[in-house]
Amino acid sequence: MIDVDIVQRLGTFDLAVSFKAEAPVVGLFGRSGSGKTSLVNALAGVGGQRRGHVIVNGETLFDDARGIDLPPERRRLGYVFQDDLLFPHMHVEANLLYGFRRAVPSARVIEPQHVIDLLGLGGLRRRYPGTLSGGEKQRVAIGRALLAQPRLLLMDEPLASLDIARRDEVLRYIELLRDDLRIPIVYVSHSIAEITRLADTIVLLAEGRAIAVGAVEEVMGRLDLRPQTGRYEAGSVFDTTVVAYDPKYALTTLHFDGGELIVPNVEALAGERVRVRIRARDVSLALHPPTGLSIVNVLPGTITAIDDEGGPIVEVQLRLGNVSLRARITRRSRVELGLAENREVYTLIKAVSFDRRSVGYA
Amino acid sequence: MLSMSDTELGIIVLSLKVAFFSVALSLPVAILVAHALARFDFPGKTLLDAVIHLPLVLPPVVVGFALLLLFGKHGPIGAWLNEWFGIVVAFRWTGAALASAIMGFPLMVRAIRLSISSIDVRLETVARTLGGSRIWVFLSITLPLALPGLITGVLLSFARSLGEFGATITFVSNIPGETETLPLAIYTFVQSPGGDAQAIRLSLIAVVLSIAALITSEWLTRRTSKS
Repeated sequence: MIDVDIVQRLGTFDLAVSFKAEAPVVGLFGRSGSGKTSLVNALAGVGGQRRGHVIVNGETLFDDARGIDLPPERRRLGYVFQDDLLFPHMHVEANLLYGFRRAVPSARVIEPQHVIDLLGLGGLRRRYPGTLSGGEKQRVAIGRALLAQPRLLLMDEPLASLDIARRDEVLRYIELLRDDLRIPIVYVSHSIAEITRLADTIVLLAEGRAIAVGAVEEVMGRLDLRPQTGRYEAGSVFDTTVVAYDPKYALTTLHFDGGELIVPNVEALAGERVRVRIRARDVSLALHPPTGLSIVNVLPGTITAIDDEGGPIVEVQLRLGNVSLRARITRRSRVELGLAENREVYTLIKAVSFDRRSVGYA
Repeated sequence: MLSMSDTELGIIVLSLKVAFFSVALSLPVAILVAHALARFDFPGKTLLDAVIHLPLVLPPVVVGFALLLLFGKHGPIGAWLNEWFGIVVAFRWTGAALASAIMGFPLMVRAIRLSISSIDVRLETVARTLGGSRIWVFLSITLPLALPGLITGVLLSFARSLGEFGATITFVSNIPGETETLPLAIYTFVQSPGGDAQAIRLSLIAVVLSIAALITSEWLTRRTSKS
């Protein structure tokens, strides 16, 4: 449970963020300059004077009214920055153990060997940061933060300085530690793909304010927040279970309340939970079940809302079982098909629209 | 040429002793001052910076004279040191070390400050969030990363000390066996008739010492930058 209320003046920028969130992973999402990093610094206790309070898991780390302001070294928040910031004069193992050695022995729950195995750092122990790849460095940085026995992990754009391939590698490790170590994470990003893949609760920041807090699907699905969540990125997110894998075509079948999806690019075993994200522009609609079609995912659904602002493109909100899905179609199609609320339609989702970034472990 | 007389040996030992203690005296202070200048903003920072640089721009004789006024037997600091600790620096080798330390201080501070400024502050922040106290972070992160600057600072100050002349001769005079360091001895020989050969011998020794110091520092810097 994170309870934050922070007021801070930073030059001409006013930060006034207040929210409560309870989730394994809280995503802080906002465009650059929305105050994400200032907020994380406030949580960590670095940089400047502020008012308000920060309470994590019932423990007050900061409360100006009560005169409480723990220094960073006593807050026990593992901070992972955009740059790995490994200590260049220490080899990997010394980096990993820097915080572990400072932690109270009785509080050492996370063991070095466990973290080394989890993040695949075994072969790097004696290497110096200068000789590591970007992905390796970031994994060491994450391991170092974990071994300081944090009550919460703060990750500020941990993938931003990595290339696409390395991002996927590190993202998988973050999913692993989220599921394995059960440490709550505050994950900051301006990439909606990362947030939706990892987070359960999202805090939407704009101009130094938290303008929405809630379940990822709910906040991202809100049409009124589209200026902040972005038109291009509009989509829906939901959890599914792996049913089967077809090795002949390398396709995986996923089950969810609204039916079954066939997707490529999933490396998960039957029974595992997988989170998928479907962009609104990848969903088409049909009145009758189409035949002779290359699209493999055809699912019946009901229209719950239509957002028509008079432009060439309209956004249709659908319900498939208990899952809500968004589709973007032209206004002409909407008129020609006579689409309206409560209308039963068939949703068409191209399997190839699921890339590596849109499927992750739930 | 290869065998040194006892007098020459005494001069070299004294010079090295003075240089060693001048560096040892100024290094801890220089580290603290350099760190403060590199990392913090405080009232009077510009003034402190200017005062530290004074020995670099003032004629050394003026520095020596100021030291004599302050640290002389009847000077405010000298009298106090003598009264409370029984320490007398005027006209002693310790005074020569003090004069050298002050003359080399700006060089030392500059080198260390530059080195600390070039360290990413976020490395220190990250170390704090990992549980390191301010002091521990300084000792385990800042100082080791500033090591190249520390080495440069020590070498510059050591070399400055070996060559120190004006402030030393003004403050502690030229007393053989007590304050007569290498440059002062060379000066004495140059001034005395028929002392040229001696002056040349000592000058060559000065050259050898300087080169040795340079090579040592180069070797140390390479060793630290390897890791």
